[in-house]
Amino acid sequence: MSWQTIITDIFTYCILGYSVLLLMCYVFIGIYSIGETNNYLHKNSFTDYRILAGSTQAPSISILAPAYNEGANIIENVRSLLSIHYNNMEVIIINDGSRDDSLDKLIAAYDLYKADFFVNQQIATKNVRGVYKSRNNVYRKLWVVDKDNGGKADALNVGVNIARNDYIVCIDVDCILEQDALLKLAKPFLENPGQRVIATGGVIRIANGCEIEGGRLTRINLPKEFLPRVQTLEYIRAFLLGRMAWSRLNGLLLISGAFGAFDKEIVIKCGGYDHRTVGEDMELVVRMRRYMEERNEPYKVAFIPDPLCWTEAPATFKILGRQRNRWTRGTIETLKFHRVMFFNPDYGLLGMVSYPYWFFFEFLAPIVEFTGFVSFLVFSLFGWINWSFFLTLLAFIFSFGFLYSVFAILMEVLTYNQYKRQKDIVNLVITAFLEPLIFHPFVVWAAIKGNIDLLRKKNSWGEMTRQGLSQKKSSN
Amino acid sequence: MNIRPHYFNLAILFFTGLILALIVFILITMYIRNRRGGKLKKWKLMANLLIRKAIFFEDDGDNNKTIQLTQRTHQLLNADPHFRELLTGELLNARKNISGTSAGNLKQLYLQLSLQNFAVERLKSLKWYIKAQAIQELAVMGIKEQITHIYRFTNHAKELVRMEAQMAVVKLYGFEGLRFLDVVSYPITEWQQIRLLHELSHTPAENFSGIEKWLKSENKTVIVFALKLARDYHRFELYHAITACLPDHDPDVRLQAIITLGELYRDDTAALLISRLLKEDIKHQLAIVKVLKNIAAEQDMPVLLDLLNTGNPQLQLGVAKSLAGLGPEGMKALQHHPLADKHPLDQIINQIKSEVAV
Repeated sequence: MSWQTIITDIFTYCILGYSVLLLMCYVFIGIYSIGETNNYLHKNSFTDYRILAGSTQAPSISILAPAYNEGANIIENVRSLLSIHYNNMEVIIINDGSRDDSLDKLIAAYDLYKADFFVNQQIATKNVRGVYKSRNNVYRKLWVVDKDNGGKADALNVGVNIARNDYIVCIDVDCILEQDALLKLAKPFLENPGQRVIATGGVIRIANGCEIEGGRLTRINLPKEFLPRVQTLEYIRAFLLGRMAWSRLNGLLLISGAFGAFDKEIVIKCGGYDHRTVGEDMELVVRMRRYMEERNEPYKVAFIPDPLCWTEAPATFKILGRQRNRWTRGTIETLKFHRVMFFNPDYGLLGMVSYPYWFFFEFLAPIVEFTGFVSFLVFSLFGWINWSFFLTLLAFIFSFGFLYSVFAILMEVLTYNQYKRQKDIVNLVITAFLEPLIFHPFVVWAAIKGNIDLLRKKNSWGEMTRQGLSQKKSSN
Repeated sequence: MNIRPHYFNLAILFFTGLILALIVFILITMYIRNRRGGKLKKWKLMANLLIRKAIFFEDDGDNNKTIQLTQRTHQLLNADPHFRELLTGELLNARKNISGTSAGNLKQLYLQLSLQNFAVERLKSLKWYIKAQAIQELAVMGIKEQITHIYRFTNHAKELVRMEAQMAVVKLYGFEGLRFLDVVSYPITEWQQIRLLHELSHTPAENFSGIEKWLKSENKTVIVFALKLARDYHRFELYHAITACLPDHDPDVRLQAIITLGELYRDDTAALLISRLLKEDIKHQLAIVKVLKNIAAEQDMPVLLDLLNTGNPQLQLGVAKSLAGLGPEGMKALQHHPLADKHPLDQIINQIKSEVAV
């Protein structure tokens, strides 16, 4: 046996072992999620959310929406937030030192005045310049906070300091919420006696291509452009399969920063959002879980499969690359901050399953893939490739990936069925076929760049230019 | 490399076959759904027409008169379980939103179509959601004959079955239905408490009994619910039983007792709560301070002023609001406090002043 054969064999076995383990995880996630989704749908059929909407006993919620240079749509976005069906709530808009006219527009549109307000600095933040309230009683639920620029995490921490209610809902100001989104998100906090629900998340869907009027989604369409469409598929897979399975295990590590609810008391006890990372949403959930584990307090991070929030997905490779680069850096930073939990039985499922899964299959996966690709180039250059075996393995992985996506589409059709036309579903299946060829390699490359940027200590968010959803009736 | 590509080829074949099968299944499902969509629309229209007829039905004092059904409705009811499900669903939705004679007519239609027999059959189902649906259906339609069965489910191991059974007995028997609280051993979630209170709000509040017993329940969630009942129905005579909950070791019971005392207070309640203040954690302290804002009197002023010296700004804000709530004297005392010109009390006072001005 030559040394080349030994090297290629060891390498191939390692990659194969890793891939088989990953595929087995996916199979488990896919199957395990079915029960949780089924259970939720059955339970939900008994729920009359109108009771909660009008109840004085409903959990009190503060919606925190950081805004930076959102002047173009801020008035409409705030109006949309104020019209949400929920009685016991306040809306806090945090103007994070915008350089545009966001604040002036808000002052004029909502008749705001600078109020004397004691800001309890329970979490250290940048300077708060002023807290504004409306003279008009119609907008009594609205608070606008003006502060020095400090990034999203800092803005959210200011919101936490100002919030007067028991639960905070963090939301991207340009997201479009379903009318009953808050009711659905609030309910898990009322349902688990003996186990404190510390956070709840819901499904985020892609709004590109949908019709929007007055800040409300009026018609759901599948995006016509490839990139938003492939992200639609990706989100269905991640939310309907991945997060539901992790929720059933009570091992969820991530609630999307675009829309999630948190127990304010625990957020404050944990020290709020960490502004040292660009993945502040994941980091907070991990820290909250760690906090509860270290105190041996029974807790749960809940997740519901209802589509609650619609957001605009990046439509160009440039913006998508920045987003995925940031997500990668956020994941690595979070894993690094909490490395003490790695295979640490003191942290139970969190330390023994959730953390290692994220380490091996979220952080390492693109690195392994990239290494595999580079090795393939080297091996083929030296003629060390067994082509028939290589092609068989490639077809194996490709067919599994395609199968997993088709299974996610099936789950979507059988549950929420947002895309009702057969044409749309066929389009999604075609997209699932093309994804490993076009989208996936790009995402892996963006993740590698994220790793490199992190090594170079680059910690910027990366500008996320959006086309805007409320500007036109149909965006694409 | 010793791994035989043969196994991978088999796996690829298996995956490909599964992919094709899933795609076909998806497309067939969508096709059937779209086709059934048209039929469902027609059925829905038929059901709604029937319901409308029932709502406006007048029996002219003749109790034996029945609501006229078309031949087609009869046929469909006997032949198609999907139609029966749809009609039952529509009837339930209509019944939930209607009261009075029309509601009685809907019940008459339900009985006339013998739909209760199917619900009773489903009560025996081993699937929890089918059982729970049947309980809900019978309760909404006001079928009391099955109460013995349903009552047994109020302490069922399956949460949804239990919840629906509890709702059903309250829906059918009002406050009397709450006797399940005597025996329930599973926790009553906050969500279920909200539902029960909402249901009870539609029932005339008689001088129902039981709260005192429930306030001493082994089940802590029953105590919390009893406290809410005492608060909502102004049961001042239970004052001592409520104050007895203040030192309970369960934090939820203590919190609810504090909130309840904010509604059912006497002259000595403020002093009683203040005496508990330093024994509590910050969450309960804040709840006490919030209650004090409404019930504190001038004689509590010295203690409140003393509480301003605690280092917690959140507590200071609450106490300052309580002092301001005492009127000009309280405000004056607040402004003359030794810490009044120091952070954070200076800002707190400014906020309170501006709130008073608005």
